[in-house]
Amino acid sequence: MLRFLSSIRLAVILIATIAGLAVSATIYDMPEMFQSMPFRVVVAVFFVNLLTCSVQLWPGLWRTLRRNARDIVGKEAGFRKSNYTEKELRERLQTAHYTVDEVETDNGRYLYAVRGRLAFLAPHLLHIAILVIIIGALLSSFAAKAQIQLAPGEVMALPETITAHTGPLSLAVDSFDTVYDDQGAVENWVTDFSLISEKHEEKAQTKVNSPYKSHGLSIYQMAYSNRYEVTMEGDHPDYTGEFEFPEDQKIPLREGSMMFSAMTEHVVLFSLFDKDGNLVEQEGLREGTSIEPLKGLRLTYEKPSAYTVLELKYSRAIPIVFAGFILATIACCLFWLGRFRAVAIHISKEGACALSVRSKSSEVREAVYAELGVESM
Amino acid sequence: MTDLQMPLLFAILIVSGLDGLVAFIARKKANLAKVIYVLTGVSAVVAIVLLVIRGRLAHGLPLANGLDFSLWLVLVLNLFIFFLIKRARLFMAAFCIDIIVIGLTVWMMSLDLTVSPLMPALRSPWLSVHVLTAMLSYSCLCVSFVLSLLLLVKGSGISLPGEATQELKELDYWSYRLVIIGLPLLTVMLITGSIWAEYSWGSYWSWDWKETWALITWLVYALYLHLRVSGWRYKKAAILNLIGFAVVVFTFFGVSYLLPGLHSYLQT
Repeated sequence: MLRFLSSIRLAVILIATIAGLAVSATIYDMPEMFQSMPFRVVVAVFFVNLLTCSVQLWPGLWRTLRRNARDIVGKEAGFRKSNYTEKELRERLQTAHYTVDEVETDNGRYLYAVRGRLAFLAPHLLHIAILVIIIGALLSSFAAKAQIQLAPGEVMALPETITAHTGPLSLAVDSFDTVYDDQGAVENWVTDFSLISEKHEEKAQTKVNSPYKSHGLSIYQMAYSNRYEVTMEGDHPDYTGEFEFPEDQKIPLREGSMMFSAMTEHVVLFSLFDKDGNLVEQEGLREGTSIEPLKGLRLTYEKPSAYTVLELKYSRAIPIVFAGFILATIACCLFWLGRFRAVAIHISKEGACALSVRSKSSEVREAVYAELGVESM
Repeated sequence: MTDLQMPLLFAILIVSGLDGLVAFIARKKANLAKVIYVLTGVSAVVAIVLLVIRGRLAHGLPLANGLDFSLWLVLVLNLFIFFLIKRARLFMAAFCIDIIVIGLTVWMMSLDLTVSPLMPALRSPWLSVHVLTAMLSYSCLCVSFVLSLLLLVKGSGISLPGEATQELKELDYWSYRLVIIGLPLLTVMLITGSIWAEYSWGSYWSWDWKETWALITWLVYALYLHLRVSGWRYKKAAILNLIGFAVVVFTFFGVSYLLPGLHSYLQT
């Protein structure tokens, strides 16, 4: 059972299954599949497969990495004869950047030359990295998330999903700015805010690509939008007074609905719809412009007020995922260091050289034999 | 400078066409290798000039959309042609890569060549490392695909590995080596994208379709490596490699056109 759990065959089945499930989720447009129980079960089995594989492989791996010349003494029975002298062999090993360990015995000299020791670790390290990422992903799936929308000067107590972890906290937006680059294009959106707890107040900032992060709490600049201040006068009491309408949202009226959208920096697009949702009228309004969209209803557009949309997240697991990412990146770099190969060499008292090459790849084995003067079989 | 882009793309098209033609002829006249070097060099230089122009217009490294990505791809694929001829005299592989370069160039010519300012989310140092690793990875996997395709064509009707010629052995070996280089690059691409997403979108993984298909690509190539360790060589490995590259193509073009999501930059 343990053998099957750690086998490549199971790994192949699981990788193919995960890929197949991901493809079907795309084809049938079911992103929720990735949160489903069958998918989680497959990932869980994959985790067990990786874990058992890693645990089983590490002792052997450790032995391979620690092997030296003493370990090959007396094991030259299957070695293949080299046409090179000891001096020539040593020169070739040096040129090819092998690390050589040697021991002198009554039976001659033994050399153990290794190259790509770190590369040997790469796949195993990548397996461990994936295990760490899966653990981090599991833990971060319990992250608390919330979204808040605030205009400068407004204060809001953070939602309970967040304060359950952080304790009571309020957030006050001090300012919200759009930053432009030298060419006049939008470079970033920046929110300066204060985090207010019972004991102290902390001034902080968040902007796109540079969120606020502290003690598991992250605050991201997600979006921004406008509210439009409008004065309405009419014969119906519901529509009398000063209002703040959100951008791009239909506001119900007696005979349909209306909507305000951004048109240019100084002009807002007013749209009027009938009860069936058909567009009846559209007009660009500047600050102070009055119109009469419905009989007996006078509407004056006063000014826009920008508000910031912040995403709040509380999770202690992100560093775990990132640790997995770092391990995986190291593993990837190790992959490029070349492939592991070890050469066990016996030099008899008479100077005859015989050797054996160890590598997972038959291509590498044959290439090394050829390099070291062993005729192909 | 904007007006220069179309003529330069046209130049890549013509030079790559000539390069492909010479590579096709050179499979029987190997002394034409120098002509291929010159034509490949010209194509690469024109791609660099285009990248410089777009970089100047963008006030930074040109990496914003599918066109920029493809230009980098054309540059690296030209370097691969040079390498394949120099190292292994694989003229047919060079011919196939030239066809891919021509296809990419024709597609680029159909796009809007205007350079628009980057949106705030894309103004991140992670953009360069994420896009460049993706491009390098796709280049390696593309060349690996070409070598596997040639292996299947040249190896048809032959019993492998028993009757494997030196050329087939080289095709099999290099297609594998390129996956060994390409898959870690793909991993780094996924990782850098995830880190960037965590800082930009507040979530390192959103199961956006592009992310999902990038993961599927990674899984298919992981499958390839595991099956290779289990003994898959030559035709079986080559067929899986072809499937892998089909997934790469779908991830690059298909997802962007058919399944738009957070990563819909290709058409912009």
